[in-house]
Amino acid sequence: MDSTYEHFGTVDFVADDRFLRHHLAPSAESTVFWEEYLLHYPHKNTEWQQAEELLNAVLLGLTSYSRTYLSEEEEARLLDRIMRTTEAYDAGTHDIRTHEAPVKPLRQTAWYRMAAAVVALAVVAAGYMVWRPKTSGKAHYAETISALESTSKVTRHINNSAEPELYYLPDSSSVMLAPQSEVSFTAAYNQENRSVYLSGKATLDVVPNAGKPFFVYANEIVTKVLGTKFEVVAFDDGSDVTVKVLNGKVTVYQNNVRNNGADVAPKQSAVLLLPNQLVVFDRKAELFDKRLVENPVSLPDVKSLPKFEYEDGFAVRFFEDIKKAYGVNVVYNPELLANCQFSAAFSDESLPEKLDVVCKTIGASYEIIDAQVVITTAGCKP
Amino acid sequence: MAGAPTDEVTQWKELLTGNKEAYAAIYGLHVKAMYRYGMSLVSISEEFVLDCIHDVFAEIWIKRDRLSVPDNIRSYLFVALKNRILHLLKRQERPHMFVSQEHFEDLWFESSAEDILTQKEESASREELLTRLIGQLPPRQQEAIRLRFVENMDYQEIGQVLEVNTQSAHNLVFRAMEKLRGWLLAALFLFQYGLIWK
Repeated sequence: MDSTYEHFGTVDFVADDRFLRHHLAPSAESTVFWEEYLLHYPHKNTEWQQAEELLNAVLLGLTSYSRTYLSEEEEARLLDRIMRTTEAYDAGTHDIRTHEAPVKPLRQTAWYRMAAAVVALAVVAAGYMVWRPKTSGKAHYAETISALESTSKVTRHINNSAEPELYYLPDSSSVMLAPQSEVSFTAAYNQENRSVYLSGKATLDVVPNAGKPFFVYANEIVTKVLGTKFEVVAFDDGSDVTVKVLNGKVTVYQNNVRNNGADVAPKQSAVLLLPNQLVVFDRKAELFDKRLVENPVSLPDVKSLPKFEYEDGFAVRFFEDIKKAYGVNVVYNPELLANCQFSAAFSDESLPEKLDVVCKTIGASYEIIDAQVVITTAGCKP
Repeated sequence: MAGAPTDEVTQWKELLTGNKEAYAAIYGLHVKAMYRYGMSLVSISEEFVLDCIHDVFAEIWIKRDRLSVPDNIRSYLFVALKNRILHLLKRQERPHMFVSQEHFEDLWFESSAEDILTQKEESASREELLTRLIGQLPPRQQEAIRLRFVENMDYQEIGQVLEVNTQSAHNLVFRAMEKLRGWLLAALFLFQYGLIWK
């Protein structure tokens, strides 16, 4: 038995190559080694476990680092750019080599560098023109797929039938694919993250896995989720792109603004969507428009759903119940509403119907602005 | 990094003979980690990091007839990327780049119990608290723990990337762990104390 570890403390373990390799990439050999070790030195169990806890704490604290993802699309694009630089270099060197006498090595290297720099610049400019998002959006999906196919194996699935079709992804997340819609993913799916590419309409039910964020690339937008159910509509015919959340939370952002992964999604063009919210991407104006879905439904995962029965109930309580049941934000001034009371019992009324009844009763009005319910009132007399 | 090293070495050798497929395979194996590492060094500009990765790979291709197989391909690429980034930053003559690493380390404040309490109160989750605490470590220690815990590099490889010997690389991680453990115990203590008095 290796005696190196006889006097190890918590910090010694957590900074030890062998301990860390076992936890980060365990092998049969490392498992045997540590099992034997703990049998030999049972009094080290506490330190060993504390080291494990500390290790998990460090990993948690490094989440934003470990989740800095290079999207597959960007990876393919960068490889394309590198390949073109090398091609340009290979084509160029023959000329340079045959024309230059090999006498001044120093100047020659300088020349090479400059030539390479100029070529690289030209390639960047060319690359930019090729990759500029096309406002017509006609061939967006096809373009993306052919770029991906140059670097990895792409699995494509098209629903050619007239009925929606349920299709399972490798991690058993499901895609309800509408007719004439297509979904694809590369061999890298479910390795560091889960990226799918969509053309058409689909409702996705994503298996929660915080370690492997799920991305949907659909025309000009990217939707990022950790585990949820939502619908994406993105046809190549130039119509607007929409994302609707049925459960959970998703972030939607524009695809030509590159994503940096989990915590640094570009803020200016990112939209956070909660259940009952819907975002429409206006392809002409390149703008997001956040709305409430037409018929908000109460959330499926709320533990104790409010009863919506009030006898001399406070309006404030009603609005709080709305927030809880529908996951919709209600903006109001609690001081103005302090004296507003009403009696009502709702059963199957829709959200707008409930709001109508209560607002009329207490002499207030409501508007839906930017997916929030905004209450306007002058207050009630005590 | 664990994986299939022999395979990787074969591909690298193929690359040196001018095989583009092997070149693309090496790129595919390492680009995600290079991007992550590059972004941790200069988080302000993704464009800049991507340019630097491009330059690293372009240079490997151009110099391939003079290159050999590195001891460790992952740390070789990390070093190349870091050098490229530092080279370009120096050319822009950023004044703060002239503070040497050692001096920088000396200027680092030791967090007080009060700081920890503030961090604890301002953090909405355990993840946030830990992110903040790690953010209080000296930059070299942060870099070392990222390489050790996320990239799973051993101390020899980390030493290569940070240009220090293996023992110093180990010391960086060890000191970071000592501090972090102390802070976490302090945070736990303050948390319990807070519960009693609230």
